[in-house]
Amino acid sequence: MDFNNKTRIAKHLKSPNMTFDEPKGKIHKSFLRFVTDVKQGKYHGSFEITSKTVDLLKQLITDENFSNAQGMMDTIRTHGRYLHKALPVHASVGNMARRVLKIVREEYAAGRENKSEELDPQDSLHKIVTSVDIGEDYSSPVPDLKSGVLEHISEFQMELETSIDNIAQQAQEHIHSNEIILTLGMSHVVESFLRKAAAHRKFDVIVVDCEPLGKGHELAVSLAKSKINTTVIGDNAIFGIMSRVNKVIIGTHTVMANGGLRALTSCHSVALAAKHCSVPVIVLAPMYKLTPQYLCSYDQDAFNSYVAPDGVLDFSDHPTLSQIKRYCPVFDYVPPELVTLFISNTGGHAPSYVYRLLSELYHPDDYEF
Amino acid sequence: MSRNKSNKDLDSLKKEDVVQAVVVADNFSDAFVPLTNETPSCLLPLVNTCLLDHTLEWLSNSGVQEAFLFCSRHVEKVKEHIRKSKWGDSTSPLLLNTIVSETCLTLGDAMRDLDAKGLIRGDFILVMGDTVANVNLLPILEKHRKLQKVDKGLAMTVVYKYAGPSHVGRAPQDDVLVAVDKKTSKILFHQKRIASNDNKKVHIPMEVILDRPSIDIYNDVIDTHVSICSVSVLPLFSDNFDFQTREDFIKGLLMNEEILASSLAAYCLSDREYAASVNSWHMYKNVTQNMIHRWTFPLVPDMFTNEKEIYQYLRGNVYKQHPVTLASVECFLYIRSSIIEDDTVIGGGSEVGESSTIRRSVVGRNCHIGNGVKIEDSYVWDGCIIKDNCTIQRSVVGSNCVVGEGSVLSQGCILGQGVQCPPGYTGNTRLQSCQGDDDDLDMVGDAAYIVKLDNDDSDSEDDENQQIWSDLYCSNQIEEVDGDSDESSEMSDESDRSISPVLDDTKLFYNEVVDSLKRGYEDKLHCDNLILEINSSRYAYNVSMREVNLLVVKAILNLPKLESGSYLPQLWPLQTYFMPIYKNYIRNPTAQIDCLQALQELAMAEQELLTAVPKLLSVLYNQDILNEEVILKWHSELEGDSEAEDLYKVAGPFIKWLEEAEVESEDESD
Amino acid sequence: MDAQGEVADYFSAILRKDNDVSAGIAAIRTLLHFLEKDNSNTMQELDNKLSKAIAAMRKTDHPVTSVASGTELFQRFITLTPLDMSFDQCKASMLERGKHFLNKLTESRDKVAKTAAPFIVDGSKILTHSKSRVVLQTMKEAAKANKRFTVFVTQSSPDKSGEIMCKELEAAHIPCTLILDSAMGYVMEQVDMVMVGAEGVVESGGIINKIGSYTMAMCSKELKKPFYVLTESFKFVRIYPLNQQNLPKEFKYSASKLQKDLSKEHPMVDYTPPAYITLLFTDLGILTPSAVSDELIKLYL
Repeated sequence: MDFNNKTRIAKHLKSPNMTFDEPKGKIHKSFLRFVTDVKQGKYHGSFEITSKTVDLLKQLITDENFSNAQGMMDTIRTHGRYLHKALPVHASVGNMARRVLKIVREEYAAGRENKSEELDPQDSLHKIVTSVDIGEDYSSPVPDLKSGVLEHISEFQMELETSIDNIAQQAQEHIHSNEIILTLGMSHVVESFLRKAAAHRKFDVIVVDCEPLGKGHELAVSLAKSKINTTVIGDNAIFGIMSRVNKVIIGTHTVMANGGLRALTSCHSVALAAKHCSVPVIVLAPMYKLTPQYLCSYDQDAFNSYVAPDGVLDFSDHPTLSQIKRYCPVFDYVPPELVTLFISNTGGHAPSYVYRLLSELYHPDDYEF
Repeated sequence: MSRNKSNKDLDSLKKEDVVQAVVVADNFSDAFVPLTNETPSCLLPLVNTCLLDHTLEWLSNSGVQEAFLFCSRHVEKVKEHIRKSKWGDSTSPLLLNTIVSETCLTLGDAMRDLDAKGLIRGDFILVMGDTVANVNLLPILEKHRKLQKVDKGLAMTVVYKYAGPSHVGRAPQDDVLVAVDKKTSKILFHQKRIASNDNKKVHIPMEVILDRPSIDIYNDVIDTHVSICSVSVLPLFSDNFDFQTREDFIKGLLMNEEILASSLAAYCLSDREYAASVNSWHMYKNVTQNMIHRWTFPLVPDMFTNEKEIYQYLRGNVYKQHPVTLASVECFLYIRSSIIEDDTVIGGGSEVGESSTIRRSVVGRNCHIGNGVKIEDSYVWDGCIIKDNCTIQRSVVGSNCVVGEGSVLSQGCILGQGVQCPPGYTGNTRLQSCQGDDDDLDMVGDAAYIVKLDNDDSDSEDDENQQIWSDLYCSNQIEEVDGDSDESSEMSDESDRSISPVLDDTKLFYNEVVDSLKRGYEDKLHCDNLILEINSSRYAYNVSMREVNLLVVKAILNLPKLESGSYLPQLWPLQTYFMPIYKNYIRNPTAQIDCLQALQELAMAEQELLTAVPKLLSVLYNQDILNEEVILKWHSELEGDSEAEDLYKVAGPFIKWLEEAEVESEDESD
Repeated sequence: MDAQGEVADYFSAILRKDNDVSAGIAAIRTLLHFLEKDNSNTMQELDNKLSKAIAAMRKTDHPVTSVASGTELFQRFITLTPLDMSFDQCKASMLERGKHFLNKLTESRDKVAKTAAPFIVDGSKILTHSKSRVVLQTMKEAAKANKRFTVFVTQSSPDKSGEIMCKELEAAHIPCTLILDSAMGYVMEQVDMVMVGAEGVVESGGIINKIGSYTMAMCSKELKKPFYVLTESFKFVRIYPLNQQNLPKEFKYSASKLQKDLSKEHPMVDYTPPAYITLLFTDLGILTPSAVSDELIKLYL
């Protein structure tokens, strides 16, 4: 296809999230600061970013005054949209805004006098047939809405904090004695998962190094310290070693709505090799990584991020510098059919079940900000 | 990434020492004329964001808490910019103080001014306002402090970046050869490579190598113009008025290490770290390319933190800015059947017409590019209108220019802001939009005048200009290799053109001495000041003492030639006037030999001077500058030299007199 | 019987007059019209009459699948009507809500187009099968957003509906190529995705669509191209076919041919199992095949 060589650009799509120009004054200063910090890499890993987002949103709700639930939701949505637009790669940031919106909706529904009217979030055939008006405007005053929401968010924060532990608790169900487990890169969830399993069972771990970004050796060192038999291999050895592996256990950056993954580069190779050798692929994904987004194209806006190509080629390698194109993408897309099982803090799920989890986590009206 | 640690690093630094940086807003050169006529150099856009913003962004990222922005030219514009940007905001993580001193003409002046103002409390980071970097400064600062504990006199850590000898990222003016003590990171030797270019040899003094277990000699580093300074740097500048540039400072310190009791350290950046100062078109091009290639990550277009400037990153290093809605007017990128190829950045609100091609270029915001336009290796700034069927290659089009239909701009053509290029214009010169002070500029169109660069000083300047002009395109050769073959053949003869004669330092030094003397004589400056000036030039060009002697004498004797009128009548007043200079330089027998050598060379070439030799010798003799032994020795050596026969004869009577006088004095002593 | 004939005529007239209406919508409109005219006194009577009317429509020569799903939905709508009032009041409210219901259904195509259009990225090549209004609408939507893409349309024997599709795309200035049905495999390697409509979506998440869809789905699976189905939610039907033979005969053959020797007739539709479908774009959102049964359970539980 000639599009591989030439990027032809058509008159640009005027899609809603692009033309939104939020007046800067409306955005809380702490959010502006947060975006800058995230872009400059001042936070490590998605968990830190996620919990910081919830903190910020909580602070926002505490600081501002709202006349009703609608006002509160509008403010959250404005900030959520800002974060989503400014940090498109960090899907969990948008997810947290969606989650908080959902919390407000729930609290509102709970606080309404008319409790019998159940709010089913899903736009369903059933609803079309029964013709229930969804026109809930969230404008009725609800006493103690704010305190209710804040309390609910605190609960949610607790859940967030324990999510990695909760996943690790399930380790024994998935790792058995004398198994060979393959993992890649550096993931805190995987690290605690394997550690937890090692407390009861003996097994071997193979870590794919994931050059240049993955820091697999860091994970290997940490595992070796907890007396787990650990081997580090290069990315090129993935296929060769796969036939000896019993299970692949990896972390991910984001779980897409169809159950596909946006994960560290090399994940696709690992998943494909595993498929070839019929090795199950288990993905550890706390709930906040589930995002209602789909992959339309591999060149999709903000799907991937590219860092300095120093890991690919040194800057001082002069003669080649100007003639060779260098890229260093961070993510791979792994299609859902290569994933066997997701383990989240609430248990194990099949990739096809992700849509269902999503509908429980977020309100469909909030999928798009 | 190393920068991830900045938070922790920050904590580890003691609370009370705030990390301070001095940002010098001006580059004190006219490299970017005519674009810097109205705009300060730090506000020129690089990849659609001005250089100063890049610099400040980096500083705030790398843990600097307080910065002093030193402005000297176009102060109001800089202030205005700061006020409007996020740096002027109360929430800005970087505390920015603006210092104004309109009289400053060099970096040295700026440093002296800062010293006088006494704002700097401790070690500080000195950067130019045109730096693009992603390096975390805190580790370098830490290292500087560690070295400081061992070596109290450590004045400055100079930051270098590795880049092979013929790396495209090297600008000729930043080409250096450095010798560093491996153990202490102390710089022992520093030389601009441009001087030794023709003989390919480097002379490293013996004492550099002696007494040290191991030294590193770097040929593959470039100066990033970033330095960590101890507080002693400012007084050093104040005490030595001849330090005008950072280069002077480094040279001066190395030369007079014992006297000034100060030393320098070197720090080489790893491959992961990037830093460069955009002080020439050559660097402008390189840094732009590096940024597009993401070496400066996270300082890349799609990561710019300005929330209205969101770029989309596409395959082939193409960056496209998202459309933005501004006051109900819909602006969006409008490109149809046009081809945007590799390494290109296009700003928001720009329109590109049918069948236009853009390659390896940057197009600013709200540009209108017509149909059938070809833009290659060029930089088109904001708000330009490029009419149909233009070709722009290796050129810079300043903001709000209009390029008429069918124009061809090529090979280092630079259009100043607001130039209106007439249709069908073909050229490769610099154009500016208004007449300016002198009204003898050649007019090309309504608002298009050919820029006249100041080249009346001397022929050397002319060469320098030539160099800057060729900067933009001479370095394209390597990139062009992958281009079409016909293009590369065109390139090859271009590269021949672009190699301008390299001036050796001695010649440059001589020219400067002549300038100083001439000005000094005209303005009746005190000779002490002239000596100071000559000394500073000497440091700048790294000229040996003997050469200085020779050249100064030559310069003095040559001065009358530059004036109109006959030679001799002007010679004598000059000699009397410059006698203190003779006295300063011609102090010992070796210097006297140099002096005579100069005299001899000139006299052999200049008939009029030849006749004046006896008188000149007697004057210098009577002033105790030359002593008789040296003169006699010199004269005896002339004997038999066929070329110097005339001189021998002419000097004869004076020598005879001298010999007689000697005999007489001997008689007297008896 | 008269009434039944009338119903069939009314139904055929709607489809004749308005090309842009899907058979399912037409069936629901007919039933609403029938309800308005109806003079039954009890719910039971009404229900019986409706069943007869539905049977009449199914006997017409129009694609039966969407008629089946549409009418089924309508019946469900009737049954879900609260019955805590007099029959007349009940009917009035039914009519009132029926209009609302119909409006929602007619909006659904736009909704699908809006969700699916972003998946057409600039420069893509799309293969589609036969004629589908919702696919056409989606492509128009994408073209409106100034995306440039080319479409391959199969001729789609025996009714050559692909030719109509091709003309309509050309009218919308979308570059398209008509290909033979048998050239599916040939074209597949150069396309980026397959987009088809559906006559019905079954409980497994598979689809019933114009004959050849199954072949196309298998080809795309083999060449690892995404197979997208664009469909409105009223096309969800409550059947669970296990294979092609398992599909009801009236779905496969038009009513007029059912009397003939079926072994000599061409089936009009085939069943594409969910394993071949990447995603379904519906007015309820983007669904994975497994989400379809969820929706149906919610409705018919």
